[in-house]
Amino acid sequence: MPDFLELYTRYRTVVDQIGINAILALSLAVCLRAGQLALAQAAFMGIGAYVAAITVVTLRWPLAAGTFVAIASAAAVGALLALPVERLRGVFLAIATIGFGEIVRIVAYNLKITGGGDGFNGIPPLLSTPWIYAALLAIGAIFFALRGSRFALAMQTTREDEAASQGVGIDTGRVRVTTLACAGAIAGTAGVLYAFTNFFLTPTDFAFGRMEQILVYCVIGGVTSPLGAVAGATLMTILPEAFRFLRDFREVTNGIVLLAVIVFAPGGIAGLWKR
Amino acid sequence: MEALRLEHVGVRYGGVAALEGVSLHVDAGEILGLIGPNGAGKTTLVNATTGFVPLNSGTIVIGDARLDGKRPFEIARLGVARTYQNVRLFGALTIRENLRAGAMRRGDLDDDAMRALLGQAGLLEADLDAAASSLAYGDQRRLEIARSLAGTPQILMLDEPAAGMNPVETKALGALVRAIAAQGIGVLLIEHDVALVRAVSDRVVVLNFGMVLATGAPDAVVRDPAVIEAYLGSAV
Repeated sequence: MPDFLELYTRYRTVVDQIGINAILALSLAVCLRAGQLALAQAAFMGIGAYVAAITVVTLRWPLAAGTFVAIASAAAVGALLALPVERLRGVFLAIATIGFGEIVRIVAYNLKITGGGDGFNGIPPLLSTPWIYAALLAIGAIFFALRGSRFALAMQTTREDEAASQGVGIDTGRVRVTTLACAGAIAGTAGVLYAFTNFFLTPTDFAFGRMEQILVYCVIGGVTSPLGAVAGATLMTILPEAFRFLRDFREVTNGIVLLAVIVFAPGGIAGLWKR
Repeated sequence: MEALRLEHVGVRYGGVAALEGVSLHVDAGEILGLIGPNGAGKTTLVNATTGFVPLNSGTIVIGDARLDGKRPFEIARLGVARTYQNVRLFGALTIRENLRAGAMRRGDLDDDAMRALLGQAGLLEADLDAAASSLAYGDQRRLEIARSLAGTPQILMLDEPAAGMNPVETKALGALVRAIAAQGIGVLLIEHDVALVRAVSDRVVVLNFGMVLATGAPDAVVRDPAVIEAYLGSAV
């Protein structure tokens, strides 16, 4: 037991990162499951993080209230974002949502209430590893409970063929709005956890670089598999740490793994265990 | 009893009139054959009725409900089901999931109901958990019909269901269409196989250049000189 505690103490940050990244990967997996290449998860995370920090630290709300408002805000922004991008698909949707992410980052950079480019300081460590994994488990349990539900089926048919889905009576517009709202809520949860375990927020924490990482987690895990997304996030968070001895070149391993998966296992980790 | 009525329906694609002043109706339990040369507007008529293309003029009514102006999913929920010229199953999903999706407007289906639907469509031996895309082409067409029936429609619009089928499969399809109509469902059958249309239809409508050229009993319509000239080119 002492060894475990020592190990945890040494790698606590990585352990927390794995949990938060897994939640972010699940947020994107929701969109991909409905066939939406909507790349706004980093922005949703930022909204969750800043709203939680502002309400709890600046406005001195209780943590639970701040968390609720932060997650609800990210979900509402997700639902609202679905409206202007309703007719966009594939790469056009991806670019539009990346653009939205840039807007969120630039707004955070220029607002006084977010701390601007200097960042938001002095966030107390109100949450820790158990909270992160409790949230991950809760989100995973919701995924599991919804597996096989009519809504899950509507998401799958929307991904497969949107016109045919409408032809059998599925309101694919509502599916898209609900999906982005859920993605917003999940990534917003990751943002809250990030804010209260990292003491400090800057707009670059939620920039395109993070969105790129989240997409890589899902590609490596298997684009429509929630379990694969979690596995991808875990692997790609651990790898750079395991190759720390490579110093500046350590992130090259991420690129190599990504290329290997695309070439040799296009179905990702999930595809491997389905074989 | 009249199930579906189109009144003076017009659809334009830019400057081209795809449908112009088309009026027709389908009764409950009736099979209405819809024939015409390529580009006559047959598929456009199905697309307009099911909300996939907007009307420029006219009205479409099912029972007491107007369909024109409604979105495809709303029209499907009002009881209009369709199949497509090119099969549009949810290929990566299982047969079970395809049937569940088809039944979405009325709730869920149990395995017995699914088996009954598959049996009716001639797919009794199909594995419910097999991917829809793993079926042979003719069976995919049958599954698409079964998926349409899963929603218990009032009207079923079949867009060239016999395309790619051999004579034996086509004969079985004819029996299936008759069985569907016998349940009280109005069937609009678009088909290039005139022999099939003659064999199963109660009435036939001929479209040409987006307009109704002839309407009547199948044998009378295919003997109509105007139809022979415009569509068939010679007597059948």
